[in-house]
Amino acid sequence: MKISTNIPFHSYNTKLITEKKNPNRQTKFELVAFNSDKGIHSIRLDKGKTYNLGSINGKPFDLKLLQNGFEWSGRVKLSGRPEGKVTPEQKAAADAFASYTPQEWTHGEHIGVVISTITDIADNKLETSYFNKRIKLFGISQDEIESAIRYLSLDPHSPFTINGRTFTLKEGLLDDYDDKMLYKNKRRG
Amino acid sequence: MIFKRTLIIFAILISIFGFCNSALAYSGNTGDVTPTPNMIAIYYPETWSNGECTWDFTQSQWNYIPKTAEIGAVQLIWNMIPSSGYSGAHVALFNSDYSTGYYMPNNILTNAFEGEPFHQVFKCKFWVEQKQYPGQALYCVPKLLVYYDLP
Repeated sequence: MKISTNIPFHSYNTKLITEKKNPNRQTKFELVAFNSDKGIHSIRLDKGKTYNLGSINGKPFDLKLLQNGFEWSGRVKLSGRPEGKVTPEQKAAADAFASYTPQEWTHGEHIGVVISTITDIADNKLETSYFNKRIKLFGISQDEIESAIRYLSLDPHSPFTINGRTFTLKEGLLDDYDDKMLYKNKRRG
Repeated sequence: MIFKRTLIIFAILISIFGFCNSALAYSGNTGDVTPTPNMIAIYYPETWSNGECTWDFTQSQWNYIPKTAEIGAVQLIWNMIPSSGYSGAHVALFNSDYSTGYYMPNNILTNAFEGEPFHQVFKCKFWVEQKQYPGQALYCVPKLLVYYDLP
C-alpha cells in the first residue's frame, strides 16, 4: 500500500513555523540556521516538544520527542492502572490508535524511530553506528529514512545539521559529515 | 555524556496462552463492565495475575541478562479468535507501575518503552468494543518479543 504523506513545505529561508491549535499541544518547528557558505541547512530538535510533521494519508502526524524514544499521534501514552471503567483518555487514545491502518501506523513509527535516533546521536547520547543497526532492526527502508529527513524540511541528499551536528545520508546509511570533503570538492570544482 | 551503546539483540519470545471465559468479566469478583459506550473492559482469571496478562522479567530465570539492560523495542503478537464473539479489540501494554502504557498493534515492532529497564513486569490488558454473543468463551494468545540494549 502506498503511503501518501503531506510534508509541510518549509522554505529554507523561513525561520519559524508555529501552530497552536490546542494549548496542550505545543507545535513548534524551527529552522535555526542556514549556513550559506557551506550550503548546509540546520535545525534544532528538543526533547519534550511536539512537532507537527504534516500528515499520513490525511491523518495527523505529530511527533513528541521524549527523553527516551518518542510518542506520535498514533501511539500516545496511557498512564494509570486500568480499572473497570474505560476512561475518556483511554477511549481517545484507542480512537487515535485505531484511526491508522497497520501500514500507516508502521510508517509513523518508522519515521519516529529515524528522527528520534538521529536526535539522540546529534545530542551525543548514541554513536552514529547505532543508527544503522536500529534501522536494520526495524526494517526501515531507504525511502522511509529519506522521507523522515524531508519531514524535517531537510534535504536527505545534502549534508544537514541537527542540534549542531552535521550528517550525511548515503544510500540510507547515516554518517558524520566530513568538513574536509566539502573543501576538497570545492577545490576540484 | 556519551554512552557507548552496543546493540545486543535478543529476541525473547514468550508465549502465554490464555483461556479466558468472558463470563468472568461480568462477575462481581473480577470486575464490572465499563459504562463507557462501545467499549468493554475485560478482566481475566487470576491465572493471568490479577486479571492481567503479565511477563515478569524480575524472575531469576532472567538473571543472565545484565541488570543494566534497557528496552530497545517491543513487539506484541496477539490474536482475538473471531469465534470468541468479540470484535473491536484494543490491546494495551503497561510497564510495572503503570506509569507508561501504549495501545499495541498486532505483530508490529514498536519503539514503545525505549530506555525503560528490562527487569520489570510488563502487563497486557485487552478491551473489546462489542460483545456479540454474551457468555461465549474468549481465547487470547499473546506473545511478547522484547529487544534490549546494553548501555
